[in-house]
Amino acid sequence: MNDAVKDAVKNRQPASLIGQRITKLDAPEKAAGKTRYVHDIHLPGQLHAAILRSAHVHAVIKRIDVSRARALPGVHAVLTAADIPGEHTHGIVIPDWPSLIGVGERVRYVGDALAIVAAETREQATAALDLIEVALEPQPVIADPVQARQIDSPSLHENGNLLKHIKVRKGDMAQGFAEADLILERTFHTATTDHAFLEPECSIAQPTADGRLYLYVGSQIPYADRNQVARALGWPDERVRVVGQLMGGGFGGKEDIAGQIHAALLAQATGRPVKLLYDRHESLIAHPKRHATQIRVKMGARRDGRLTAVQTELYGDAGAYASLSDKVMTRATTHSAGPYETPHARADCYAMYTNNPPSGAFRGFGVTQSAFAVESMIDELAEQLGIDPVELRRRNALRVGSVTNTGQLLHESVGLLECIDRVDSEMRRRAGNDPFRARPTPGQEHRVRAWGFAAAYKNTGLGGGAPDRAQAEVELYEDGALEARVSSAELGQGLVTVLQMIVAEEFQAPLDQVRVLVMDTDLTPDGGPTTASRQTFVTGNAVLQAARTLREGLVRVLAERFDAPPSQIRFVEGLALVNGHTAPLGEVAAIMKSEGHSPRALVEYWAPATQPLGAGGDMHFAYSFAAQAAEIEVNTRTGEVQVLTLIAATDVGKVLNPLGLLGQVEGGVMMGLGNALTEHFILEQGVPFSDRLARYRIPNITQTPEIVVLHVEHPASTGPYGAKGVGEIVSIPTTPAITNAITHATGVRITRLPVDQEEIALRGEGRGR
Amino acid sequence: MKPPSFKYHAPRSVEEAAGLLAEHGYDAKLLAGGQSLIPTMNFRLAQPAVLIDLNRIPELAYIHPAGDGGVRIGAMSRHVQVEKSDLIAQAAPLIHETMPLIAHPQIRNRGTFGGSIAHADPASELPAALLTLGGRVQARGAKGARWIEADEFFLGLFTTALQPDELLAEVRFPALPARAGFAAREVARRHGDYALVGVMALVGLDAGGACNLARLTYFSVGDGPTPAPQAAAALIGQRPTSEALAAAAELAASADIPEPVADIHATAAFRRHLIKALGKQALQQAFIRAGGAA
Repeated sequence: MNDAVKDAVKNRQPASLIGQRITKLDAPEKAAGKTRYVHDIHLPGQLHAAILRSAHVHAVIKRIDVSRARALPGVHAVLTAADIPGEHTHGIVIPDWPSLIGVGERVRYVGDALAIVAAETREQATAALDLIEVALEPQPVIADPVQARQIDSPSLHENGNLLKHIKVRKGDMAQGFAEADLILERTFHTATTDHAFLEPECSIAQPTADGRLYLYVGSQIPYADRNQVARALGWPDERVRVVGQLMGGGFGGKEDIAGQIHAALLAQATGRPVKLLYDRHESLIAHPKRHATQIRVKMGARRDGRLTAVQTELYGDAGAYASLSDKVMTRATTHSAGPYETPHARADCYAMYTNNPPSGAFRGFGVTQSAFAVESMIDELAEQLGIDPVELRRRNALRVGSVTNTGQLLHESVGLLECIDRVDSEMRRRAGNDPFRARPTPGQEHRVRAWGFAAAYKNTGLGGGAPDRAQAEVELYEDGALEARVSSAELGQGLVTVLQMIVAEEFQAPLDQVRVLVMDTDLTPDGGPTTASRQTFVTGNAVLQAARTLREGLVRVLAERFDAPPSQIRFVEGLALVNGHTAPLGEVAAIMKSEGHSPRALVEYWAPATQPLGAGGDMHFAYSFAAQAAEIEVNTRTGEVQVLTLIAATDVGKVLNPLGLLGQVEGGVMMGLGNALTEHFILEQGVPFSDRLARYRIPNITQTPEIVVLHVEHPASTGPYGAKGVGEIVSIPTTPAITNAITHATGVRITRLPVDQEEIALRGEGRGR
Repeated sequence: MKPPSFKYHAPRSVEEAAGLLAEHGYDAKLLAGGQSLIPTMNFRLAQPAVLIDLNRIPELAYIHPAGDGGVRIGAMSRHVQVEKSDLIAQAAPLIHETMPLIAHPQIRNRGTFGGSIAHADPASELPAALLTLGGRVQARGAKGARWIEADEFFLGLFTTALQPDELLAEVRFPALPARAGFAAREVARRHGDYALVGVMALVGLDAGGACNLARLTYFSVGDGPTPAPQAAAALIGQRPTSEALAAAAELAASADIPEPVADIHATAAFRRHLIKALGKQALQQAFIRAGGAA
């Protein structure tokens, strides 16, 4: 290095990567179609698996005869429940989900597995399914959660159909409603919906020569997969290695077991690698959905718009097995009064087992459902009180100093008011001062436009007293490369890029000097589940701490070697600067090793402690906030709705990668739009009608509005650089912003999702528009 | 799922295809664009023993002017070719306007004009267009060719007048009369999905500005393309006032199609509402195009 360069390096102010638009590392190869997913892996000698599913909604199994299937050429194994060496059930929270339903046991939904086959080809495996004979005794079907709670309904599980009664209590309801000048009450229904991730589930299990089992799978929780697979095999966890693969989307739908155990059982039985790929039909039928929820809201307010009491009652359709219902419905319940402060609140939620497909995690985690109900009510309240709906929200909005319904004092990072103000001013800049008025198109009076508004909040992290931690390791190699290792999952959301940025930032190293290894239970420490909008915060913090710990180690060694005070040592452009010396990072790694130190740091980061529901205090360590406004056009003759514009402001604490945030907002808005207008996983007495994508309407490009993305940054003091979660909050206000706009345009109150085109057309007809 | 096994033939000429049809008859299915047949086979709703692939018969793909000012469309013309054809835009503008309503671009790239008509899906646009324009189709088999008029072609749910040994070779549309106007309208839950209700209208005006031609055909309301003859008859001799059009559309819903199909996509009440709303809109636009203010 010549002196000029040295001077340049020396005088250069460290440039922060945080907040810069960084293209996701894997974006070019994804765009070029070169990305490899699990199904692209072909192991030598690999067999193909197929699953015999119940097709009956509720039945008791009397007999399973697999002898003809076993005799079919090409078939290597046909297994039933009797062949499971270890535990028969799995489940992330409550292990109540049988991997295979045995004779004498009960089928609880159409996707329940009765037998699994491994054969030379997928065709042979599928053909073998037709040869398995099953006798079963059909049972009465429980198709909805309200029915499930009736006394004369049959019990689906040992402890009855009530999975959990979740309660929120604050203040005195009688007093709250007595103080109200206006009380509104209404019941809302949300639909069962599916994540419809592009990549259906695929698992490959590979027995190894040393008696272990490798599992290649796209999973949001690699360590939970490892544990559940090991338990089914009757093995210690360490004998299984999960080698997580890049996912074509998850959205909460890849947290539960879906094929991992079946592939492992077949690989163990045959001694051959086994690939188990769901086709779309199987994927739609088998994996957990978003809870259909019935939500009754009773809301009291004073004339000035201040809320006095909010009471809610929720019935969540948990489906056949627990999955994450307990947690999801808890979030639905605690958030059911919206992002507002109310002195008196009460919420009761009944998460009920039914014979529908299990419900589980889905972006928004229950808050999507309750936000629709409460934001609709807030709008109706505004209308009845003659107060602008934005102003009404402003008056009640959570702010620093507010106490939530679970008794949490919010002491920082509450950007809701700024979100509301930013969206409001952008909306009024475009629409003028009366955005909520219905505006018929001149000459085409049946085409009516209007705006709608909604706000939301969503916790970051597991909360509720659950230990929320991530381990992470950062290592410096002698070639100068920095590697971050953590098992957390990359499902397209951009975590790997964020972690790369964090390490590069801490060492002031070029981005391409940092690599990130994720999702491998042998090579990466446990980052915990990729859920609850937690990874930027929790794993981000873990990687940040590991990077800082390693950096401090480098500083100590350099200080000693060059006899310099630690404060004089700086890192710039992949170089360490000390006492006029410059040393590339790789050289520092070599120095550390030569002195007997290992140039790596492993940390376990614990997020701030939280309290369980009912205990008061901090139920969550951070919340993200959002406001959105939607402009829609309704054709009142046909009921068609087009969303024209959507303005979204989100308080994410600190924007680490604006490009990543943009992707999250745009994707989240489209998911919320689908939830409002088109998506409905239709079940008829437990039997899915929506068993293919042609029957499950994901919104397409023709329905995509202009999406305006506004950043709000109220830093969380404990977040990495102030950041908090973003994955879910972006999707939550979209649905009510759209449905409120429809109400403004047509006068039709939307109480059921997805929006019923028929209701708008038939009821809009007589309005002379 | 994948289909059960079947025998596959790829004839190179209509004669060869007709010979295979004569041989296999009811056991055979013709593969055109495959946009309906292949999914049906994959779900095992159709399990033909023999598949006769028409995709290697170049003589079946063409768009030509007809002597009478109309057009002739070879059955294996892809939707996209019809959609982009200048000849169609000029000589069969209702067809030109209908093509973008059919499913998605990917499907139109592969799906065929003749296949859609021969399939006779009650939710399809083209059968209704054929009926409205008074077109006809040529059926060919080992025994020769014959012409079938549109109003004798569609017999019911997925059923046409084609015999098991015949294939649909050509679709022919006549020229529009002078002072005629047309319109195509449909409503779907999402663009590209099957229509909840759709309608095709063709109208004409005499020198005095009164209606002398009216055809109105709905789809996705019953077993096949569904004409509304009483609504049409009520317009003849009338000036196309807003009231007259509303009355005709009302008649379509109350007299012609009082019991539209009800299914998971829409109730009968919603379909009746759309029959009225879309009927009036389509008639309005058709009369405006015919030169009479509506």
